[in-house]
Amino acid sequence: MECKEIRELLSAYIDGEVTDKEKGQVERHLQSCAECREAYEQYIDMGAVLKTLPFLEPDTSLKEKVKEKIKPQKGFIKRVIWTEWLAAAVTVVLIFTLGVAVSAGLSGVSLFSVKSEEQRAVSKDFTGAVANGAGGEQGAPEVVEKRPAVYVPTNAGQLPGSRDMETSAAAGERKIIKTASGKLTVKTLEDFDRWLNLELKNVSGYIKYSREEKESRYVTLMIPADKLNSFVDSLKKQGELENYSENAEDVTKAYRDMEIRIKNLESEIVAVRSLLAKAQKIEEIMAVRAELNRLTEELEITKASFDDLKQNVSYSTFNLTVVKEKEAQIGEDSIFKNLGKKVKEQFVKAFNNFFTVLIKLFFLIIYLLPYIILLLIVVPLGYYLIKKKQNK
Amino acid sequence: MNSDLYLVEQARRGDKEAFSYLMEKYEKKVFSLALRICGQREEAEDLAQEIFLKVYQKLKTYQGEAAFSTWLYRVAANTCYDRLRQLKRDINQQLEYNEKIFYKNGMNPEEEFFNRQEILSLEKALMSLPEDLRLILLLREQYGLRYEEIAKALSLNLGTVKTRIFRAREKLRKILMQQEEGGIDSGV
Repeated sequence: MECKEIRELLSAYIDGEVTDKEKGQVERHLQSCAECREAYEQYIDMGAVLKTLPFLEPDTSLKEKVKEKIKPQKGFIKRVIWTEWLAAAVTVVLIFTLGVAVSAGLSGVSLFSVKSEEQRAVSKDFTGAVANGAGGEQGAPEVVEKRPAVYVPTNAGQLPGSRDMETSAAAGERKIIKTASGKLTVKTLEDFDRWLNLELKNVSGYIKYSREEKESRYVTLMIPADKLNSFVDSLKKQGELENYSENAEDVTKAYRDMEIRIKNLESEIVAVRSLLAKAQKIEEIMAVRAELNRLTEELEITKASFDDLKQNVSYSTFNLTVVKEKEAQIGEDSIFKNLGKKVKEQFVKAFNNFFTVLIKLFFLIIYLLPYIILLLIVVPLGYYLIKKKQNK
Repeated sequence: MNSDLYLVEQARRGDKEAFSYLMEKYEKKVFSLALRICGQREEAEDLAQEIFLKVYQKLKTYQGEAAFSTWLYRVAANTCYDRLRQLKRDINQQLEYNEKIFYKNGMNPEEEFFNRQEILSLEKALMSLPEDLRLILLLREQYGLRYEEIAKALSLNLGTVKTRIFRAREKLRKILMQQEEGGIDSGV
């Protein structure tokens, strides 16, 4: 190793900042190189004098001067920082408010989008596919079949407006068939039966189908469409209503078609009747009668279907499963019931919320980007100016 | 050392008297470093004040990981280094060593008797050393900071500290040798 390299190591060697290997190298070199040995001694001597350099005294005590500065200095710094930061904060708020106002004014952009009326209105045309109460479907499949082809209600006389076709088919009125289903858990089935009879009388509804088992009931109820909601409200007071679903089907077109068809049939019958009066030959009379019979029969069938449809429109079908509450058991109805499921649900909810917030934050940041950039320029500039002022 | 820790603790709690005891204890040491860096009393006093103000502000960050003196010298070194960078314009303007500036009140009898000559020639040689080398050598030799502590104080890496100390030594050695040969040693 050359002397020049060794000298640097030598310096570190004096300060005890070398590795064992380097120490060995230096010591070996020193034994063989007189020049480096001399330098080494000079370094040591210099160090000795440097260590004994006297500490010098200032003219006046620094103590008092520093003490004086500590108090006002601290206050001054704090004051400067406070006023500057306050100014910065006010500026930011102003810029932000201005920005929001301008952007809202110019483009109608708003941070929180408002749903339009059309969006908010619930579509009435939704169809099928809503899960019915599982118990009800499995227990009584025939109940699910909503509209038997020919059905004449036993108490047809009660049907509102069934006689007056003209009024019931007021123009523009939507014809909706509502179907609801649910599962109710009650304390005693007897109480429920009693309540159901009373309530049906109240709302002028009736039982279309009913199946009784030891611990459960499967009923298909016909409830006047306008009273379905109040019926459900009342039902909820009887026990715990689960899996409640409502399904609405728009049958306006079918309704109108059938109305027109009935009118046509009726006018045709009138026309055929007048033909019958004119008919003179036996064969003619027979033919016209046969036609009249066919038309009358068709009219009756159509009317029956129409009544059925009207029935379904004015009466909502409610497939209800009623079960008796199980005897209380340890763990039942406690927070530990379905604990795993609940935990999972909460977990999923929490994560959904988390990501929703994250995404919203992301959009907020993007929205605020121009102001952030402005801030990034203004704040360091202010900081730099303060620094400069302090240094002065 | 323990008394230092106690005073630091008190000063941190807002006891200004405790801090002024600390200042009294380290005043000369800090001022000496400042003077040897600046070469002018007025500027050195200003720098020393700045160092103490910084120490006061940073007192909360002192965790007792090293001796208080070491920590204080680190703050001093850092402040001096910053000052040097600010004063870069003056770097070429070599300051003439003036004994009267340094030893205004004279040396104490002991110093005078034993190595007045050596001290004065070394002071003079030091002043012809570039400021950054001067600072680093003083920190190492007079203030006893280790390489790692110097590196931290000046935000340099260990290798740079090692090289600079060597360069400082080598340069100082050559200056001293020149002084001897040229016979310009004022003390002779």
